[in-house]
Amino acid sequence: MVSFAFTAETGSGRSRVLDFLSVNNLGKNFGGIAALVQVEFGLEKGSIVGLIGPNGAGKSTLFNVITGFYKPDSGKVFFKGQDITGISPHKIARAGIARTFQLNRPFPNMTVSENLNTARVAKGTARTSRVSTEPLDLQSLGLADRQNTLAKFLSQGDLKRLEIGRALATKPELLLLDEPFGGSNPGELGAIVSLIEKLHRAGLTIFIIEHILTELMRLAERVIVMNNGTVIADGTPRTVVNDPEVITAYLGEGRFENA
Amino acid sequence: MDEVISAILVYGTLWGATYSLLALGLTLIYGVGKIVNLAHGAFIMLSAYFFYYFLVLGGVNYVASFLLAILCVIALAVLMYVLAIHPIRQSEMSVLTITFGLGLVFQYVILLTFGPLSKSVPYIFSGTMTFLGTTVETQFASVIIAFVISCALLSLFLSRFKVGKAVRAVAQDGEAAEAFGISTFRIYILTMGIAAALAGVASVLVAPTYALFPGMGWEPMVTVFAILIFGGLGSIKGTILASFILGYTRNAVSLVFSPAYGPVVALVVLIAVILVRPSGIFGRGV
Amino acid sequence: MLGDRYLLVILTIANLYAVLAMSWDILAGYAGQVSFGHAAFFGLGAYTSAFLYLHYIANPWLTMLLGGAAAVLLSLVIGGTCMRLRGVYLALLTMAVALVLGDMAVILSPITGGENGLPLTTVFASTMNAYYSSLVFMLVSLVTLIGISKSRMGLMFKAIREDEDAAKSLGIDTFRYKLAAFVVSAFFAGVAGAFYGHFIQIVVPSYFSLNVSFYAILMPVMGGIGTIMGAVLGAYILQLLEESVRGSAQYALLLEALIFVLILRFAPSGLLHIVRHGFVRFHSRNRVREV
Repeated sequence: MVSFAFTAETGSGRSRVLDFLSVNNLGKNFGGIAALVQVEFGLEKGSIVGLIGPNGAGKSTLFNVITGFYKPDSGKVFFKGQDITGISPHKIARAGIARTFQLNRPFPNMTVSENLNTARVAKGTARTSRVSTEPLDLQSLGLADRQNTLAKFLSQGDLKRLEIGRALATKPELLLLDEPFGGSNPGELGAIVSLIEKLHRAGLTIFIIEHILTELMRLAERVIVMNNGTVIADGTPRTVVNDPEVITAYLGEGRFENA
Repeated sequence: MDEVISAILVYGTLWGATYSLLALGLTLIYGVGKIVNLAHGAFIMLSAYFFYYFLVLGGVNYVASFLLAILCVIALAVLMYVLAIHPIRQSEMSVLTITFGLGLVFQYVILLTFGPLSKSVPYIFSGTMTFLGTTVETQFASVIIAFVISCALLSLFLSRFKVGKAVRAVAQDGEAAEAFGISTFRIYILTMGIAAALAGVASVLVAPTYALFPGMGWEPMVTVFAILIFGGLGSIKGTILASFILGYTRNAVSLVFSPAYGPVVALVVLIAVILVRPSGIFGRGV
Repeated sequence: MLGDRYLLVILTIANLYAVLAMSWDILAGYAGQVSFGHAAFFGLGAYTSAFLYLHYIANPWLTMLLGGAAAVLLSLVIGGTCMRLRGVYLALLTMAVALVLGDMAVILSPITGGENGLPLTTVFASTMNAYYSSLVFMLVSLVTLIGISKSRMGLMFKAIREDEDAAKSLGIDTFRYKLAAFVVSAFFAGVAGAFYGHFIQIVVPSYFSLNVSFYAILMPVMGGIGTIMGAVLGAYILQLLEESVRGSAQYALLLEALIFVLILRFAPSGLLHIVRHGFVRFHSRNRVREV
């Protein structure tokens, strides 16, 4: 498999190899509407990258294409050198890419523990006969006291964290988070942020779509900005925030959310 | 050979008209409220039985029986909607399942009331007519008139009248319509009524040419669903087009092979369409 | 003596219906695939078994298993082609399949005996014998299906039922599991149909009827969907119902349909539980589209 290697200059002049995940010339149309137009970038292994842009920019669509829920009309996606374009979602998950959904999708009639265990059983790291969840996991997700609550009774913030936890239970190498901060109060937000930081230190590559920019800018070492289906900026948080095209894109849409 | 072709054309057209009347209401309900009504077959059956009841058992004249039968079926449809469907309408599958159950309830009530033996209804129009060399019973031919009138009325209603435009608005976007002050509840009831009326008209007109039995509604209804899915759920144009295509096809198969295969055609079409292109010809998407 | 025999007949039928109900439950209550045409499997199993028994194979147990196999083949065809279908379409499609098969049973009379069906000679030494066989069959099915429901496969079924896209994102091959659910379900329904045919000694087109498909749904609904045991309970409740209105089969049917509608309308759980998930899945498809 041909591996596309991007290199990029950082502020210190060192080049990085951005080939852990590489997205080449991706295009996706929905009945005449171009949701993705020649999207091209690469992610470095172990990095933590943000994906921002006004509503309708194509961020979630991009996630859906990467994770196989949509097939692109053009272009390719490579993960660790393997061509994963258009492969079915479960195979992509097994290859080591996990994701959360913008609108929470828990298993409503299963408890928190059961949700997490299903992920483990699916991965093969747990047997159904032993339904127990490591207390540490529940602790870091802030759900320890709700482990036997049915998911349909959880708050939005809890659900977000449950979904992150469930994605993590598949032991991924690349984690795609779709708006992980939404619906959380400041305390919960702090918990999620430290969880993400912990995962980053442990070496997980993380790609985050977010609208709550203050937190994201602190977390991410690099930010990609999309608008109208294409990448309009790609650099450090500071560079991106001062990019005139980015500012226009947001001001034009009128949304710049801060937590 | 010419006779066969002529027969296919003539009967196919009449069948197309019949199916259109049966299907239009259903596509309307779906387009407006996303309701899949599996009791529709029961309404087809009930209108015929109501007509039988009034005409044969009640001794009421044709016109009155006809009108009463349609009114009864409309009333029942509205009642069913209000009591059973509206409260659970958010879940498509719930509606599907409950209407399935209701279809059975109606079937069994009729079974108990009238017994399992088939009934027959006398002709409103007698005699035959000939088109293109093919002879059809006038009774059956009357369906085309009903079809044309219904299409004209429906199209007028949807484009000219305020209520009709409200129906279209709700079909587009129920929530937005509510925001504009349109009572979607009333629109749903209206649509259910129209659907029952159209199906009832077709059923009563065609009834004399058939034997009535309690379970008679299911097969036509599955044919109607085949048409709906083929033509695109919620699309009036698609439904009419699909009705005629199915009418001609079914007739061709019936005449060329055997009448027994008639119902099978529809079912096979349903299965094939669902598999190949669930959104149908003019469909809005799966 | 006569009374005892009658009781045995009812219990035998209850056992066979219990297997039909369980087969529907594992597919719909666990994997979330709602079938409105389970009679297709039931009838196909019955006709296959009867046909083989009449012409080729002397061992009824073997023909019953082959009846199950035939149903499995049908499920592979349906499942293999319909996996992408939304609940409503799947429901209509399964209903249509059962109706087509019912029509074919009448049309292909050289093979199927047409309206009159296929009469079968006794294979059971006595009614008591038949009853015990049915009991064993029901218990074996119960244990197997509960085993499946509690296994890894069962958990994957539930995940698919709860949210298929989320399940996919966890690496679950939903196609394979849905197909597996179909196959398992079809097998038990098919064998139950075959057994039923041998028991009442006649296989007729009404094996494919809407009524049978209705029962397959009604029993789990009454007893509690997604529990397997509930299906058995429902089967016995159904027989009880039928007995309580003995004298008019038609009243029984009406009563059953009314109970069904009332449960759906007012019961907090039961079918509403899985059909709401049908809705969640439908809604989810639209949600994934959001940019």
